[in-house]
Amino acid sequence: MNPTIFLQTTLNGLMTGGVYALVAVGLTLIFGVMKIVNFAQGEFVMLAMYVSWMLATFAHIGPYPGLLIVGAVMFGLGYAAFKFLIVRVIGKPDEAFILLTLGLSIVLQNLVLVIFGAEYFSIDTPIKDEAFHMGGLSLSVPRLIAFLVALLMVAGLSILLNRTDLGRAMRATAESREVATLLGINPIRCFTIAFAVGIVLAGAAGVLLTPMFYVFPGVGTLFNLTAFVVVVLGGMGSVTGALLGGLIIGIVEALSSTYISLDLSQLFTFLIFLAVLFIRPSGLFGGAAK
Amino acid sequence: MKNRVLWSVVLTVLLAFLGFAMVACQESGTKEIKIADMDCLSGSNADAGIQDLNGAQLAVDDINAAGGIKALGGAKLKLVAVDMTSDPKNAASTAERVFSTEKVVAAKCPGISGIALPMLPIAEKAQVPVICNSINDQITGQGYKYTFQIAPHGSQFGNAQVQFLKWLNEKYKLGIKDVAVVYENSGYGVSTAGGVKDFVTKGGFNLVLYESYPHGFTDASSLVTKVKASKAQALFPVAYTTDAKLIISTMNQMNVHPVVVGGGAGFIWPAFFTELGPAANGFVSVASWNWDSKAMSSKPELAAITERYQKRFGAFMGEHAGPSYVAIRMFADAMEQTKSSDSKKIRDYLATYNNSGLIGGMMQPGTIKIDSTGFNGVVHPVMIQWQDNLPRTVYPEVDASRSYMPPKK
Repeated sequence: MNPTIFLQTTLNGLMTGGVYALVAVGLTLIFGVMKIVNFAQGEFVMLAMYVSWMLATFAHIGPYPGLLIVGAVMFGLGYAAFKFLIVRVIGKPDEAFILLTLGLSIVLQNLVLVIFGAEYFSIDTPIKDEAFHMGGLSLSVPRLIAFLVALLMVAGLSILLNRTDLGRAMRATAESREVATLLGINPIRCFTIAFAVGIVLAGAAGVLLTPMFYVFPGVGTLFNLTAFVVVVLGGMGSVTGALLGGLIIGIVEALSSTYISLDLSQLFTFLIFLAVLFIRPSGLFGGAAK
Repeated sequence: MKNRVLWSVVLTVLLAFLGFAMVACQESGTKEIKIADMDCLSGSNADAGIQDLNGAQLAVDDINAAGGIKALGGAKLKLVAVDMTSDPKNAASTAERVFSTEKVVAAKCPGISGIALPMLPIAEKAQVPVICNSINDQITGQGYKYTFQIAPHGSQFGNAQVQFLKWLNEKYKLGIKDVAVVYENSGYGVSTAGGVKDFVTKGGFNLVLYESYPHGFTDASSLVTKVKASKAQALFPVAYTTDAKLIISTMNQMNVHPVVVGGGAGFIWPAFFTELGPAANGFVSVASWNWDSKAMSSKPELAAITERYQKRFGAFMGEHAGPSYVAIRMFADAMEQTKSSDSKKIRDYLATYNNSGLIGGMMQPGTIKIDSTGFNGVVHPVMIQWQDNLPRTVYPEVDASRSYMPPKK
């Protein structure tokens, strides 16, 4: 086995894993606090990619400088989605939420299809072809940035959840809505913030993906399935689990692609997934602190 | 009450009169002949489909501007643009709808093989002649009577690429021995790559990597790592635009630079340059047609067509637009010669089509000759290289407009 190829493959996997973690972390936050799965998470990633693409194309604001603007837009969208749609199914059986978010994902995808058409767009930024080279290894700059931001997001979210009053209120709401209400916490406010922040995280993932991928209506679905696998693998609701899950999936995919077959890489991803669930049904960090 | 009855009678008479007047005007006015352009105008293959449509539209406008179909009293052509989407599942139903409702006399079939194949039986059933500029061998390999194919077969591509590599080795002493083939795991990818694989081994090269990847993959780093590990000196990628761009930009990032001999499609369309910019210069690919091959550039009337196209659509006339233009001119030629817009007569004329004039002159080697299967049996692919931000024909030498630029060592 050539050590350079092995190291390069592992590096590829780590970077791709960072991207997966980025998409999954918002999903797991929403689940952790609200105990509901947002099936439209991928579509919010897609919306953010379109906003980022429009900023780059029409206002000449690159994806990284535009991160804050996209973040604000996504917070608004997340807030509006919660206030007008999600809040109506709070306290209702799970099917209501599944159907609502699944429906929302279909509506969002088709809305974008009507407005922008099915064409693939990409942004013109010099950074997308940039890479660091070292001893036969290479590291793509946009992927490295996405990876580092994923680490920062996980750290930031952990601080938010564990060290701030808002975070404690969120965790208390997640533990028991009734008890939290008795303690003077407004659970709907916690849910609103958790949902909107989850959508902002999806937005950040979208922005960081824009220099690497194409922007088209179905782009969210490419990441949706992997994001669910990552969240379940890491333990639903665990932010650290999402990061670790993303990295594991990324590395397994890269190693199986390089040493076995690109077409079979998903097979190995799901085999590992099944194996972990067999040993730990609640995921790697399942049941741990949010 | 009386008033209401009176008004109703007056209104009915007026409407009837208007209806008669409209029908009369239509009959006395210039006749309009509908031809369909059935291409992928949305989805992942829209960039190719829009080139197809642009080529067909230019041909229709050129014909109408020159007085329409003279043998039919100057009848004007009308192009019906049909979006076949990029999903093969929609192809047959869309074709069924168009042939049953639009009254088209002929159709330019999709430039993407995977979309063309499912719609051909529908055209056959509707008895509408179709001319294809897509390359799959099966298009004219199934005995259809109403299907014609003017672009080279996909199986000719592999041979052209390998012959080109041999020519490079001889002429520029590149010493290439180890070759890698990577391809999209789809109908187009598997059939084209299969052809390349056979010719690579028969041509005396070592096939060091033969790897497929799923369509629409999001990360090419593992694929490029495999290419790097194989130490291939030349790479034959078979990919549509989005995957081609992903592979090339990942190769640039990872500093992997074998001689790339693209399998057409994504490597020669304008979007390739839009994405890569001047970094596209130097890339080589096989092509079913090129705007500056000797057949096109040596005749001023033909060169003027490519100039008009460039001016109107803001991009060079690519391998989809060129043959699409030719297809519409062939339909018009058939109508002129048969003095009819009857689909059956157009089909019969096309079945023995042999033209070395301006229409045939657009396809290499300067002639179109339809054989008994409906295929333009004399056509061959060309090799292009991006030079000065445009794809230039560099091989075979008989078609070349520029010399090949060897890679800098």
